[in-house]
Amino acid sequence: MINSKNNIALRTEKLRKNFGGDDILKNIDFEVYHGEIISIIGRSGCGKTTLLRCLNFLNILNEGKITIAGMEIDGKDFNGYKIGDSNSAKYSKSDNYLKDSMQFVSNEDLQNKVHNIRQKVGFLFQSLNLFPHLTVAENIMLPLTKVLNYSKDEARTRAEELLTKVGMKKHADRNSSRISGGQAQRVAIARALSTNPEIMLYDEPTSALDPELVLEFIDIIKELQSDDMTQIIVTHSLGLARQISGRVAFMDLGEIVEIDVPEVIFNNPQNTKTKDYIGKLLLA
Amino acid sequence: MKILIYILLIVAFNSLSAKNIRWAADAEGNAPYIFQDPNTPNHLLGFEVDFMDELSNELKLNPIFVQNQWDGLIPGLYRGDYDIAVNGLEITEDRKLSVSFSIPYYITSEQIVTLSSNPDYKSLLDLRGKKVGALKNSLAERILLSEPEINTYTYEGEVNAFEDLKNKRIEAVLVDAPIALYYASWNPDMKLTGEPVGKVLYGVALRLNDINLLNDINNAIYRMISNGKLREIMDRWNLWNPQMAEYCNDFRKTEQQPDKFNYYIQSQIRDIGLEERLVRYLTFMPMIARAALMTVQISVFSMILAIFLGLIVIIIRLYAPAPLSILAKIYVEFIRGTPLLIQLFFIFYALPSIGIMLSPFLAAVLGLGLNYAAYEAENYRAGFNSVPRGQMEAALALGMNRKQSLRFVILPQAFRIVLPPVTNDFISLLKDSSLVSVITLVELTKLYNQLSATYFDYIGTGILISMVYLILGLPFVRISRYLEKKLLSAKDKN
Repeated sequence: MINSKNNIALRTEKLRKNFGGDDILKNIDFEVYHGEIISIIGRSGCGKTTLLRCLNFLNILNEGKITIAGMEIDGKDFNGYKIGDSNSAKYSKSDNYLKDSMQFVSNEDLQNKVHNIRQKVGFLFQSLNLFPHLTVAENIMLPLTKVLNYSKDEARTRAEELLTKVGMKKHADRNSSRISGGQAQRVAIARALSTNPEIMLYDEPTSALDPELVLEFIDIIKELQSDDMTQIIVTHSLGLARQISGRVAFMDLGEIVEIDVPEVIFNNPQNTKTKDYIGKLLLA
Repeated sequence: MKILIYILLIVAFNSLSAKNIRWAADAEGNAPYIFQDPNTPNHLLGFEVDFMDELSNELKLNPIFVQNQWDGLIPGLYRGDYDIAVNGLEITEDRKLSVSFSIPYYITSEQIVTLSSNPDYKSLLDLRGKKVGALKNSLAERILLSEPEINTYTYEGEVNAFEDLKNKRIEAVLVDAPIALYYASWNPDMKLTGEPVGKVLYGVALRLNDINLLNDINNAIYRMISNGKLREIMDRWNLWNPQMAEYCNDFRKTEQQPDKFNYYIQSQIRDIGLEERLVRYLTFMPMIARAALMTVQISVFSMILAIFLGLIVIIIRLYAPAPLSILAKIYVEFIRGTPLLIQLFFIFYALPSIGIMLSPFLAAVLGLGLNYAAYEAENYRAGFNSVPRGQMEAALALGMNRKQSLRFVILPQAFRIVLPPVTNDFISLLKDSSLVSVITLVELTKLYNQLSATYFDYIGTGILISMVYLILGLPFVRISRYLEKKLLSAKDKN
């Protein structure tokens, strides 16, 4: 723990998230410090991706409080609104697409707050979700022109800067659906960085990468860390978690069971559940 | 001073417009009533045309012809599209409930027509157990239906009935005597047989409350009877008969030559060669161009309406709160599930009763547009459905709002997917536009009906008009292909 506790980038308090009657997240209390890298590990279905999605309100918390990017949102704020969660059973089943969790939230202050948070929080999807109808550069220019109101030329310049950062400048005008998986990931990261976020969230970033590309990804993470970026990585890769994290959180059945520096989590876990999971995997 | 000029202008305008009398009929090859001159097809002929010329003359009004589907002649009166309907409308008790009729301008009877090779049928009794054709909504149809032992077949037009007779699907046709005279009497394959059946009176139909005009028309017809003008018209069309003689109390021998009848028969009997036929098709061209323009205008405008309205419907369905989105869903199901024809009739004839009066063109565009919007909405839904849901999330996660995400991320991707089915619908709309002939518009299919019935040339005109449809559709197919390619090549840059 390099950073002081006064320098908190993100805090959740008693966070609860419910899908169709089941608590997917319960009692999540944790803090992330400015510039820190935290990895979240755990079995599939333990709620780690949902936690990540709650942090930029792609899923909406039911209870508790999230403080992020200098703004605070309470679960109570959403009382009385239907939530357009993609996994929510409440959501109309027939038109199961085009989700916006905020669709039915008419409170404009709340909408603006979430809107601002999303600009300040970059999100790297597991499936990347590049816009296939646009070129590489256009993928990055779109949020710049529409969200930050850049002119086209300014956006182009900024996009090229970001692409240079991830080593993709020479592919700027290629079609984004015609590049390789590793290249696509770097473009997706550049795009997530376009709105100058303070925090980056990564959902299973290395699951589709070959080992060499994982190293390239780690290089990017480290470069961002040197820029003081706060980063949260949900991953199945214990190696990645161990190698780059300041702290590692282990989640099980919707709770953060243990959160500590990698040496403790991997070498000397305190909780029996962590021990059980880590032990099994390290033996395998 | 200004006010004075204003008033003068209004008076002048009113007196100008008061000089017109708008009369409606269906010029769909209906000899001898009203039909296109076989030699100059954009010119209308018929004893009703002559009658109207003379009647207007008596009334000191300027006649203006309004084309209207025969079935819709009475509703059109009440829409105010014209003042009177003159088109072989028989004076019957049930029609008198909805319109008032003038005194008859022509009296005749029903006539049995059969093939020359069939036996003579002296009366309806001989037709028992036989298949007999009649025109839809005609007195002949009602006479046949009241005879339970006769198998009655109902036809849209006389040409169809006579064709079926020739093809031996039916054994006789019962039609108004003028039709028998003009379609069968000169044809060696057919013969008129038996006694005249029943009594048919044709009257001018008016709105029930147009009492002054009714009086004027009755007086004018009366004068035409007295001064022999009515007889002259009927003689020239070879339509003078004992009933008319009795009605007009005019039993003189006929001296006038039936020149108009002869003119028509000549044009029918003459066998024309290929060259002459081609020349005739050439004379169709201006009419075809006009009708094609109508078809294209209606199709393009209604498609534009459908494309935008469909988009609004689907966005409401997907994004509006529950009551609205359910309404959008109901709209789609309702429109898809009910016949376009009925929707068109509804817009054209029913809406005026609640004060919404649309011109035929607007009604057509609105009817087709509203209808196709439902289909386009479903196309869009399929398109939206095929865009992975991560696309919306990615856009939102970048801080774009829902509108921007839809506009810049979802729509362009969905558009490419829906382009082929939307093009498909447009081609189909181009042909569905033929339905608007029921609300008085003359577009390609209506023109086909008119021309083919005038010349008995179903194959030639059919091929001609089909080709025009094909040619009209092709550019849109090309545009769509081009767009598709362009969108794809944007995707394939490098």
